[in-house]
Amino acid sequence: MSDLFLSALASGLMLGGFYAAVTLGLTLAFGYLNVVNIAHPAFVLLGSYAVYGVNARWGVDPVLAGAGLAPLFFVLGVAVYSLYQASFEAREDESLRGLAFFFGLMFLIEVGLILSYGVDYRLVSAPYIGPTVALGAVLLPTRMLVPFLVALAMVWALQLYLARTFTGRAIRAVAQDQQALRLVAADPVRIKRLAFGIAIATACIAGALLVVIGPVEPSMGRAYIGRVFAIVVLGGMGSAGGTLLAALVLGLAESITSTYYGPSWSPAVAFGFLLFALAVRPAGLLGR
Amino acid sequence: MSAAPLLAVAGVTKRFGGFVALDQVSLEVQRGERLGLIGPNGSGKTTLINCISGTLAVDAGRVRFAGADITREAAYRRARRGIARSFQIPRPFRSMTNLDNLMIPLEYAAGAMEGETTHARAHEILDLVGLSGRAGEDCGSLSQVDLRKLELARALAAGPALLIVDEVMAGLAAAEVDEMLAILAKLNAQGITIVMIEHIMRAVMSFSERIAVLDAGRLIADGKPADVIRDPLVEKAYLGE
Amino acid sequence: MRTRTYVALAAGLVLAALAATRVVGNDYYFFAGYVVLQYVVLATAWNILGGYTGYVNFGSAAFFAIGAYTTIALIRLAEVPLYLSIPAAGVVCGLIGLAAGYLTLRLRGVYFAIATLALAIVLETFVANWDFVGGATGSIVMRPKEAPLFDSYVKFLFCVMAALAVAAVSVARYLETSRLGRGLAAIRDDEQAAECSGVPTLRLKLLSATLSGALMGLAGAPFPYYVTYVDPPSAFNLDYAVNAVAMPMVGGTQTWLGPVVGALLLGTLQQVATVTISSELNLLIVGLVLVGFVILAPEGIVGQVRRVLARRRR
Repeated sequence: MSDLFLSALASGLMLGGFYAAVTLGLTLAFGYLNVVNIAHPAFVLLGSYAVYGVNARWGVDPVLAGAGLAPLFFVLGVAVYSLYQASFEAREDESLRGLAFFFGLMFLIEVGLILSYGVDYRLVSAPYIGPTVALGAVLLPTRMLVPFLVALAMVWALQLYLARTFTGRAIRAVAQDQQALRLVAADPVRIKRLAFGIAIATACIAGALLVVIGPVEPSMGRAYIGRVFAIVVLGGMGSAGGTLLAALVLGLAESITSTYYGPSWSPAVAFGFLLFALAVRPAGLLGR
Repeated sequence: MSAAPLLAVAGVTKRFGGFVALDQVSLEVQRGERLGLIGPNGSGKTTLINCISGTLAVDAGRVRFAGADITREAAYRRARRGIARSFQIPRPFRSMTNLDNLMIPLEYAAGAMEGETTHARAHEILDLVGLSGRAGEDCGSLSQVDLRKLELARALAAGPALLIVDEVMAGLAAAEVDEMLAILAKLNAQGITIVMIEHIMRAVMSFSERIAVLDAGRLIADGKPADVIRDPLVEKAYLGE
Repeated sequence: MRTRTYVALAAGLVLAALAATRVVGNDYYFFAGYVVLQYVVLATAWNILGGYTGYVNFGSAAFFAIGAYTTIALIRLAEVPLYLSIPAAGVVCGLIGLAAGYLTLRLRGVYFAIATLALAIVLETFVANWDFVGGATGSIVMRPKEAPLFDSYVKFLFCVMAALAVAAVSVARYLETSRLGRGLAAIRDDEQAAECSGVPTLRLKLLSATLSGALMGLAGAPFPYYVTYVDPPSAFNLDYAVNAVAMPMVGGTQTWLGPVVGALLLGTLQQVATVTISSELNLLIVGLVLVGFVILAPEGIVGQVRRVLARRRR
């Protein structure tokens, strides 16, 4: 195997891992709560800028900053969900209004970032941005390796949480049987808020990883919308492990396309994935 | 009977993931017949209706209507052939008036042109189900009972040869049940074949010429009403109900 | 509104537009007016698939941009004049609407919306890689110095857009009360029930998508002459997509009047805000208005007015 191919492979895996981190929040929100949060990538960007702000001002390590800011994003998530719930889920409305809500929110976040930081690229500084690690003939940039490892940790942590803790299992149950939940003295509404809060908190950390990988600018989130939804759908709608697998596959596909055909075609790969994912989904298509 | 059945369902199987909703169901409905379809909750009655109307695709088996194999046909084509169904929970077109709710099947299933005659037909149907004079009203203002009547009216407007009513009498008072039965009997007298899914036993028993019983996706009985209710299998299926 | 009244109104508006070009000297008003009228077309076009049929398209910017790029491509190819590139843009975007619809309209509404977003990005990628029309660096288009019958080309463009607006709204109005329009409404209200009532839902959805795309293409066709420099980020700008959604939601999605009201109000508001405050802040306003209306008044202005009138009647 040529070195170029091995490089593409390695990049693809690391990219895929990162994509998994970005998608985790949507796995929770869309997979378990059925909330079509197309603004999720915008929240990730918000996290990136928050981390940038802290890093630029006080020199805090980006990943640590991401973890530190996560509780704030948790609160933000709870607030957003409460608003969403009060406005849409309470009424028996089509989820399309909810979609428009998140669309507007996504736009507001982007505009807000432009107003606050302008359209220029921002980047963070950290000791692991710059050097590379050699694995045989392949060079692994640590700015991609660190996010990859953090992403794996996130997936593993979420998996544990959902399987082992009471609230985690309640989240898994809330999509399926709210009555049963009430019987075990868990309030479905509170559980959902908790889940969405966690989703946005993961967006914050994913944002930190994003700005470590490369410079960010406000409109970057849009390219991720197709990617994250493709991953959630392909990954089985609500399985952290499935998300990781689908993300790795997408990362590999993009990396290989990028290496041999150029990077500007990545969005097309994601879209192709999205269509493929939606085509093979067993449920969720109209009727037949 | 030597005449070919109007509807023939043969070996129909439908799965949802690992769950088998219908298991090799075979059923025939003769022209002009009044068939009752009963069974405990979750036995697959609505799923069967969905497979007949085309809302769901079958995993195995065939569906024939008036001699044609419609197994792979889209639902709208089946509606145009003359299969009409009402939904268990009424699904009116909420943004439209009662009249326009009927215009849709009149124009699309029955192929009527817009105009005086079609409007008159719509009014006729509304009269028939007991919604006279409410043509111009927004259907959103209808009561639950009236919504069921609108549901029936909409199915009628399609000009069907086969009318399938799915629990159209749920929640009705005794007098209203009788009213509905009278309407259905009148329609049958006009030549429309009727398949009735119901839980109200007295309605099904008095209305049907024949009763088919589904339990856990399988057809467990099919015959005269008096015979079917005495069938031990049927009793067993309903035990605990 | 009776047809006679509508025709009179439409004719009156066109005449008013023409008269304005004779009376008003300052070109600025026509620059601003062009944008507002353009939004009338965009909002009306969006509403055909979004409001009438119930399929929310977040990728409207792509159709608008491809309309503009069709004009550019035709200019580069053979110096094709505007009056030919407008219908050409309509055809191209109609076909893209059909193709996009074919790929995505089998999906449940929610997935369709997501797919439109992703598709818009893909289309932008294609155009940015197409050097013939300028690729990522963009294209310069010369605005002719003279216009037939008008003293400035901008006034001419303004009237062209006024005509397009009247055409688009007329199509929407006609559609609304036609058999086809009823079929679309049935799909919006309950697709499964519509299908069981004999409505060929896929076919109608594809038609709706084609028409919607074509009209958006028409809105974009004169854009290169208006702005004189076009590049993918500006043509595919998310603003167009957000406005295309926000304006019908503000005005009301169930009738042809809604997008018109929404476009006139929101469009004018934005023009005023751009001049008096800043162009970024006006984007913020659009976003807030969209979210606000979606939460508080989903039926839009026309819907609310109708409710008030209905209550008064009782």
